[in-house]
Amino acid sequence: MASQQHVLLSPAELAYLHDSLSLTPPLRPDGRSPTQYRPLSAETGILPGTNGSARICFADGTEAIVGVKAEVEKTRRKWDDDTIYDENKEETREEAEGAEGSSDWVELTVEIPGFRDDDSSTVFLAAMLSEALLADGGFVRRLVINRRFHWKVYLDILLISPPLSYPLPLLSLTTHLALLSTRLPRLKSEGDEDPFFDDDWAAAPYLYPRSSNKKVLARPPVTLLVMAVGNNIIFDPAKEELAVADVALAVSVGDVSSSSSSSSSEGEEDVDMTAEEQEGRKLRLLSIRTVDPPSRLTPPGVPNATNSAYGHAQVGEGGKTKQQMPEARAAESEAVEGVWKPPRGGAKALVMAALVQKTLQRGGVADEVFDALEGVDLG
Amino acid sequence: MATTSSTGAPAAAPSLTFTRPVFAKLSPHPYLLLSLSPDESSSTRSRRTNGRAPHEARPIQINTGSLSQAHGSALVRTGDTTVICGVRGELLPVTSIPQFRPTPSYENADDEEKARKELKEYDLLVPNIELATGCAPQFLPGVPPTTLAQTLSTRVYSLLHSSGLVDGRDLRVKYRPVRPPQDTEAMEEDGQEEEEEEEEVKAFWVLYIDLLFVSFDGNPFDAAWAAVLAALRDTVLPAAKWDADREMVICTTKEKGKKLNIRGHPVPCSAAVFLEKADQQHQDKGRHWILLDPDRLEETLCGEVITVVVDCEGNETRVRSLEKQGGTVLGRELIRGFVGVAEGRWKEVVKAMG
Amino acid sequence: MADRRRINGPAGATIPPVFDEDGKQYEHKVAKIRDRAPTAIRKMFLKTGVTPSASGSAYLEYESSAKSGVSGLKLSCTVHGPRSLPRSSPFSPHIVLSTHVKYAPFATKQRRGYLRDPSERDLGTHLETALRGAIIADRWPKSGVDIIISIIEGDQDRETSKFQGDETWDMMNALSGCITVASAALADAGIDCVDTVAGGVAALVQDTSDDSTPRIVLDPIPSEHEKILGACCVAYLPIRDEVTNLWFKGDLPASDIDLYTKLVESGIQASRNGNRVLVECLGETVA
Repeated sequence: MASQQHVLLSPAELAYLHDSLSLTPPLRPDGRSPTQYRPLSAETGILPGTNGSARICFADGTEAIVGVKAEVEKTRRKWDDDTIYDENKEETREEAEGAEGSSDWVELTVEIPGFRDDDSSTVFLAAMLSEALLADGGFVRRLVINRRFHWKVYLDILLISPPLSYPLPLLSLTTHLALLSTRLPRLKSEGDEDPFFDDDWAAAPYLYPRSSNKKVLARPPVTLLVMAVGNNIIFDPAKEELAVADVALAVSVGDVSSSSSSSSSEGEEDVDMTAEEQEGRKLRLLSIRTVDPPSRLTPPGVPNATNSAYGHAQVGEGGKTKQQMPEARAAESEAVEGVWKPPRGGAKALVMAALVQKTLQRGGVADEVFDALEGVDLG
Repeated sequence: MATTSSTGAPAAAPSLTFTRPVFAKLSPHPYLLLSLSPDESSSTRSRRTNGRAPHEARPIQINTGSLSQAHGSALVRTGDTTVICGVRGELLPVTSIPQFRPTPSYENADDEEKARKELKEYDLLVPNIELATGCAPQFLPGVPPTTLAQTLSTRVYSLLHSSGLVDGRDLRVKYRPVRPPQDTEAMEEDGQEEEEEEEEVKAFWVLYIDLLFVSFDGNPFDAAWAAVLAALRDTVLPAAKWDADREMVICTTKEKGKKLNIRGHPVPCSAAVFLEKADQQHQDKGRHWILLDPDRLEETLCGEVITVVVDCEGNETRVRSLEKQGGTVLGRELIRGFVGVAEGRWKEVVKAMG
Repeated sequence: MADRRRINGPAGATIPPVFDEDGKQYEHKVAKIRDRAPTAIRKMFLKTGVTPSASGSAYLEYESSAKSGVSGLKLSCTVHGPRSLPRSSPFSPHIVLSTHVKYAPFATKQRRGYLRDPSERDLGTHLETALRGAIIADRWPKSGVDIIISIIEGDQDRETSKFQGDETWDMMNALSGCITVASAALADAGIDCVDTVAGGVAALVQDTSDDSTPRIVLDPIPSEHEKILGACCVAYLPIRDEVTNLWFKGDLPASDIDLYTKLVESGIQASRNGNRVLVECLGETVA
């Protein structure tokens, strides 16, 4: 797995890293604050042959490209719709407005160098990214052309550098920008006839529409990687940091601006309006997945008490193996300070809730990330 | 049984004693040989390591209709071999059969023969056996189907066709075009001939017969075939009609579905031949045992295997298929005798099928 | 390309039967109203040792709902190992887990192929995460264990037409069952675990009958509810009070973190109930 590739750190290094990350405030190897992302450079519209594209390069050298291609596809009718369209065209017009999309209108592939595309980690990443995108049905609704046709969107997500760190944040941000820059040709035909389009690319509207002052009204979701070490919560962990994580979560957050309230969840929307004073962005929690931290697969350190090289000479005497000795057993389960021990068991539900809270709270990291993404010039 | 006391165990040194499972793992051949040939002095009869007599098959247990997503299903258990079979019908419109030739009349006497050809030609029966479910340590997923799985699927496939179990006529979805009114009057006078031509086949049901081994302990073919037979007998295809306006087949739950007409009760019976010497070349030297319904251990030790498929419906035994591989022990007489054993097994299986 | 190692059937594409009642009758109506209490989970039947030749095995079945045609989930799990890793594989200080989840071809409304599709691989990854926390992996260096689950029957309603997104909710229920059955099989195989881990699902649903107020239910059956706003599947260790895998999916306002917390708590509650069945079953085997 990409999240579990072997970390070439000794137990002593792991113990040191774990301790320094557990300090208050934590001391990260690259000197970032706990909620700080790695510096990145981003550009959009890099691939002229696509409907939308983006490239992001993280300071640690990982780099990803996302291309979005859209094709017109005939909507597979729900077979129970009356077969002859013309008969009841009028009454069904409204229906078309609120037409539901289908999740197979989006095809998302992830490519990680050195991994097969049916590798479970690649599949996991792809499932995570598409899950967030499809969570509220808002995205596929944008793809409806008319009652008979829709856009089929192919999202090709390529990591072009070797996977130096768990690529989830990078891929998610790149996908986000690529989708923001995606434009679909302007529809010239009307109603349910076969669609034909304006060939003037300049007139093509954005998939995520902008207001007059070029402000993006709604944004695609972003998936954040967050982990806990000791009592600290750390965002966007590098590979080494993830190697000592107690628990790691991938949290997908969507941004629904007030102007385009989705019809699907109006009931709740109203509740929000009263609670918040209708300002700022309205974040939605779309999905959470536990990422199996590679820390579980790290080699354990051997405490001096059980290490025969350090005065514990009795070990092995009398035909007893280390495993059978009661004190060795105890050492297996008890933590010795300064000795690395891979985490065992799970995480408290409270810790997980704290991770999510820290991400989602007002002015939290998700807010910050969306703020930063707004600063990206979309050309 | 004390494993080392007997003289017939060449592999075990006299000074050592092993527990039974250890002995079975270390030297399976002498282990089985030892239990099959007890001391002459003692009164114990020849027993296999699983406690059965050589001609004793495991009791068979068959449940049908336990899966609700499939159109027909069966669960078969014989000893520690458990197999699940699900039959699901899907529709194949004739427009997607490239080599389809409409046969003008379906009421003729040789219609049955034609239907049989259709089954074969259009490949309407699709049996597949999945062993890679971890049902035994040697069958782990993540690899392409093993030779055994492929062989078993093919054997089931060919027996399905050769035994004529499924009536191909059941799988046709026919349609009688509605004639314009002026035609009907003329028709009435003409009578029968025209009517025969009216009905045409618009689609076929394709039966996907999927078998999943939950637990594997030898003799997979007998169990698999029993599951196929029971599942097909349980299969009810939904009532289907060709809808001319939509140009597709529409099924309905309002009408009762159609039970498949399964012809006969062919039941296979397998046995393996165990030789006294593992590397025995000639049949005349040394003893041999015919082990009915072999388990996993026995199968690995026996080179010669026989499978007879019999159908004893109506007090008349018909041998539907006979396969024998490897070895030279089973001659004409023994095979003839074995058909008798298969008759006994047939009764058990048919009884279990209910 | 057709798989030449299997029997593929006719060259032309076959279509699953289409029913004329589909969609019309059920479009805006649920097939059946949930009659369990919101906090009650379905009855489960769990049995270990179904595959004697495997190191450990278990079979789990959810009680099918009262209405015919609504099938319960049926799972069978085998565990092979611990056994030595192949010589070619690199040194591992821990046991190497490999999980494999596969739907039987006849398990769902749409016939499944024999090759694993992405959703099955995804389930496998979730399961691996859930189990890795429970297994005391450093007791078996240089060894591997295979956990194989066959979903014999999925949790789907045969009679309703396919709803949007129905499948993902079904996946949650399947995952929860997979975790519980794998935990039982691991115990049967005698692989040391810190605790028995069981899966539990909770969902925030909105029904037509009592609209406006979404409520949280345990162990939901998707076809029983008009709309599912969010659901989570939790793998929980009751003695340590820890969660090894959490999978949430839905669309909740971020401002209302309490709603999310409540949902996870309900998932844990469902998992506790599942664990009771698990422990009872294992206790019977030991006795």
